[in-house]
Amino acid sequence: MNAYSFDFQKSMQEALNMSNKLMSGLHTMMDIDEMGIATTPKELVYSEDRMKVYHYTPVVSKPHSVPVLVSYALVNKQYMLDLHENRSIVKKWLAEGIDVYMIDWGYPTHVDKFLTMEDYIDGYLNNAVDFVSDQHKMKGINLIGICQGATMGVIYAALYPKKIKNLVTMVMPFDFSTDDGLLFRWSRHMDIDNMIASANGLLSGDSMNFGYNMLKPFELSFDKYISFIDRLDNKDSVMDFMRMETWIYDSPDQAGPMLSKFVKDLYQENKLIKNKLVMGDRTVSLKHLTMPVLCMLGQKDHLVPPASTRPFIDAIPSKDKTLLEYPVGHVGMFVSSKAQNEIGPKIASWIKEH
Amino acid sequence: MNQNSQNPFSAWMDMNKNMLETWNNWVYPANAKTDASDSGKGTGAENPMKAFYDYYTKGFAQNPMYSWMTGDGNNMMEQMNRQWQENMTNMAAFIPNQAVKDTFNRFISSYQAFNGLQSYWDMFLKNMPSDITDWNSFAKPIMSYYENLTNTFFQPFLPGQLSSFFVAPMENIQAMQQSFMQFFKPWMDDSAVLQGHLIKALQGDKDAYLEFLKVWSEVYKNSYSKALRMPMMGASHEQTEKVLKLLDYYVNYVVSLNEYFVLITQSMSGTMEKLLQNMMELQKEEKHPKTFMEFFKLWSSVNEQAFQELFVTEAFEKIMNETVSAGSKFKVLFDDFLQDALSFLPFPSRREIDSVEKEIYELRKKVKAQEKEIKQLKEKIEPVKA
Repeated sequence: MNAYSFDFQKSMQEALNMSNKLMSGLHTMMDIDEMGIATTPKELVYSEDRMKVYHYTPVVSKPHSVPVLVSYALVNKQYMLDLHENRSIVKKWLAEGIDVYMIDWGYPTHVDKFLTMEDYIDGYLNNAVDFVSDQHKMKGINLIGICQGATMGVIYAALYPKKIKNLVTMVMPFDFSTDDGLLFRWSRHMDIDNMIASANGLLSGDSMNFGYNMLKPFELSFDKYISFIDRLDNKDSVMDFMRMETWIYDSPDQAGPMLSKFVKDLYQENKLIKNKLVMGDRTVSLKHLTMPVLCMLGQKDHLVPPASTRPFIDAIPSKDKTLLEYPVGHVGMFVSSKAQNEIGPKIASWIKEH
Repeated sequence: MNQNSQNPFSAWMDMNKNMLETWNNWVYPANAKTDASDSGKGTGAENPMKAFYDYYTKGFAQNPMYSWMTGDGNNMMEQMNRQWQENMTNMAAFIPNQAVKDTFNRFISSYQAFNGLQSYWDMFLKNMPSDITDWNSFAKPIMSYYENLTNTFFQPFLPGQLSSFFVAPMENIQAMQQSFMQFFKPWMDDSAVLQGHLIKALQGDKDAYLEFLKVWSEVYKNSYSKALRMPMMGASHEQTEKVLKLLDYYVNYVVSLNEYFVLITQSMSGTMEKLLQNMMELQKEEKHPKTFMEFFKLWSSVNEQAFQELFVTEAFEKIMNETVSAGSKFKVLFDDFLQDALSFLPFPSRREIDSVEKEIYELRKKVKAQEKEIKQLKEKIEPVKA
């Protein structure tokens, strides 16, 4: 008898179960034809280089008069908001009568590796806003920014305040001086220019993913998969898992100048909150953010810590500004049940009230 | 004027005033009648040595400026002396007779050697320790000075052609010695430290191995790295420089990567040891994992926690950024070198394609700007047309 009491029989049983689950998981996964991702009907209405703007087909007869343009982050794909018909925040908005346009930034190639922050904000985002405004013959539209897309949205709204009627930000990194998130700490002294140069000017999405996985190496590399083996024989669970996996590893490559400026001017020098960010020949001043603002954050967000988002509300002169906090993580803000039942509807109602 | 004043201008004025007074007394007409009221005046002609002594001591030695010029830390007198010797050597060039000129130069050379030896003697007397235990720390710098002196003692007396044949290599030998010493000095200075850490590392002490890598890296940067980054000469100097720099970057990258992985494995090993120790404690309370899956979950959560604690340390941030930076720099230079090396092949290089892609990017922007302008112009023209 050994000194440490160990249930060998139970362990053997667990190992056998795991093998069985893996076998049935193989059958389940071989059975998958379509992932059912981003199934909400939409139409391509504008494109410029790699960027596309989609208009989601309204489901109400008279959508809200002021349309919404969603600016997602560059580092992941926007269909997270429409991951599955049962986990689609876009569907919620449509059901609430919101007229939704979505930017798909596309997949930059080597030809796009010279794109700057000015190209993205003064170029693509501005042109998308102009297009939607022209379509609805409006001067100001609603802009929803998500994560890095929200930071870009704030910069845009500060430069073109008259073009934005209402601004919504979700899990936005704004104040980069906090040490709360590992990503913020590690970026502070990152030699981003040499990293980009070593990737020939276009940093691959795979290397970005590797960096994100390093933030929680055991949970995201081992634990997630070992823990899921037990559910491999459940097709619905597998489909949900596969949709998330598809989205997580579907990361576009990043254009060097854009990424370099984002890391150096924001993560390292925190210029936005200091009103020192220069875009082309203008300085971005937060004092122009006088439109109504709804700012949302996830309290368990390890990628964008709450301490980075909270200072936004005090940094802007808008008289109608709201900060809402939810007990969810970064991705949970869009795919959790809270996202479906509270967050999506809250955004819709706020937009309709403003 | 207060003799203790630190104002050099006032000190200079005082010195000149004293000198003039002494001079006045010294050269007072020798045939002038002297009486009790004139005591001390006109003594120059009667007693020149005393007169000069007075001139020197009243003019110079009692003056703060003299102390400033000859005091510790100031080598004004030495500089003036050296300048005087140089002036003498330069003036000797005007001696018309060659034999006389050569002899005069030998006088100067002898005087210089004499002077050099006197400086050594002054140094010896000034720094001589009061007890014998201080001898080694005292002897080393002055013996080093003496060795330099002996190297130059006999050169001035060598015949012209032999002198140039001898002097330049002697200077080169000194420069070589200095270079070798400087090159290997970091290794010599830190050899004991490196040895100490390595011995512990070989016995399994990972902290000691990290320290060994840090010290090795620092010593390498101050010696071989500098040699590898030296500018080269010749037709292919650019390529040679690139290859050597590449080697340097590779070494830096490998060392950084080594440090990075040691930190990671150290954390994992340390965590595992603690976990195994805790298991015994947990068993006493019957809370230990009873199956491998339970152990795996515990292992995963404990390691995750340990890594989170490691990731927020400055040491990890520093080594992670250094490793990424070193790796990136190596890759950039390696790609550059590869493109040069394969340039003879009939394939376009990344550089060439980049320039085409950049052109496309610029053209695309121009086209868009022009399309926008055309659209705006059309909008202006349309009402007019109508």
